[in-house]
Amino acid sequence: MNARQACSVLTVILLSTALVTPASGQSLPRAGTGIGVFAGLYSADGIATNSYYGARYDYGFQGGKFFVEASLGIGSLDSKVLESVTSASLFESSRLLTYEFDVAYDHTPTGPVPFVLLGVTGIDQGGQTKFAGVVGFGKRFVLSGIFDDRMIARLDIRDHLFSQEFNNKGSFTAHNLSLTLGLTLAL
Amino acid sequence: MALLLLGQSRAQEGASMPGQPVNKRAGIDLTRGVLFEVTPHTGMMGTSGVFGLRLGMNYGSLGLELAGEQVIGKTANLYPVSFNVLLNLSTQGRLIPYGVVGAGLWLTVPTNALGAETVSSLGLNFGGGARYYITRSFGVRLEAKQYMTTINNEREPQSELLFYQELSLGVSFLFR
Repeated sequence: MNARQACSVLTVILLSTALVTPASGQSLPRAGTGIGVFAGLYSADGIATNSYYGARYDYGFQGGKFFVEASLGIGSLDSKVLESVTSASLFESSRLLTYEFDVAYDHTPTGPVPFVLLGVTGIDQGGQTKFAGVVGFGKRFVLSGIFDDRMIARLDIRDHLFSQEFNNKGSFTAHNLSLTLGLTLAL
Repeated sequence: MALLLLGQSRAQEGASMPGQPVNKRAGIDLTRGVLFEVTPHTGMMGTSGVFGLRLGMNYGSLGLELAGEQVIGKTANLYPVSFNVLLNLSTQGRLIPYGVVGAGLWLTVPTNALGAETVSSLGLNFGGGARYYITRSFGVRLEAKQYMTTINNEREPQSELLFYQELSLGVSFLFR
């Protein structure tokens, strides 16, 4: 994905989020389970930015102020820049797979303050697996009138932090950033 | 499964068995039949990160579970699959401490060594932990375990005994 395509996707995500206005008096489900899907961009540090999509399961407790989440994401490590400058490849394939466990705190589920999130993730980069920490934040909005107000839109921004090393040239802390827009159905 | 969990959560929070006193203490009761448990978890084995899932059932003080994990190493990933027996040291309330012992198969899968093959070995584990239930169907689970396995040394005739320690933290979903 080139910069123009990435900007287009980003614009669509941000516009979509802006159009989703929380209805007054609508509150997020206070507890219980939710299943959802998400899509957006995943920027693999030093490699490429590509589209990213997946599914998640979450469970809210303590009145909905906390929720735990498990998610599975699929992306790509394709890089036209790297392909054009070298014939060698960093990984056996361009497959990107993430599986993530998180816990989040949403102090004001119906207010303007975003939730914060901490977790861990496994990142399968073309056959090489890394264990990474996750920090992030996001916001949830009830889509009023859809599925009895049980449909929730989400914007998530996350950083996957882990130790990366290419060609035995010393390790560095990689920051893989993701920006996703999701839909969750509260069950 | 999510539907099952939700349904069970609602049923458990409002219901009590006819003829039996309502347990006014917020918490769970393992003495009222079989309770199934799903526990996704993460943690560390040595310096390697762990992801895993445990599927279990509890009946009073006894618990049985099947556990699968991925241990993410630098040059290889380890996949321990084990069958465990739990002894719940408490059967009522929010806090359920337990001891656990189990056995299983370990699969070591190299990730970046060309030509290397998957190695399998048998392993034992024992340890203990505790579950703390926030609601009657949801809680957190902390566990410490010692793993043991043997591997054959290609250069010497005898096998080598290896020990690993694991500390894990997960969430526990209960349903009937």
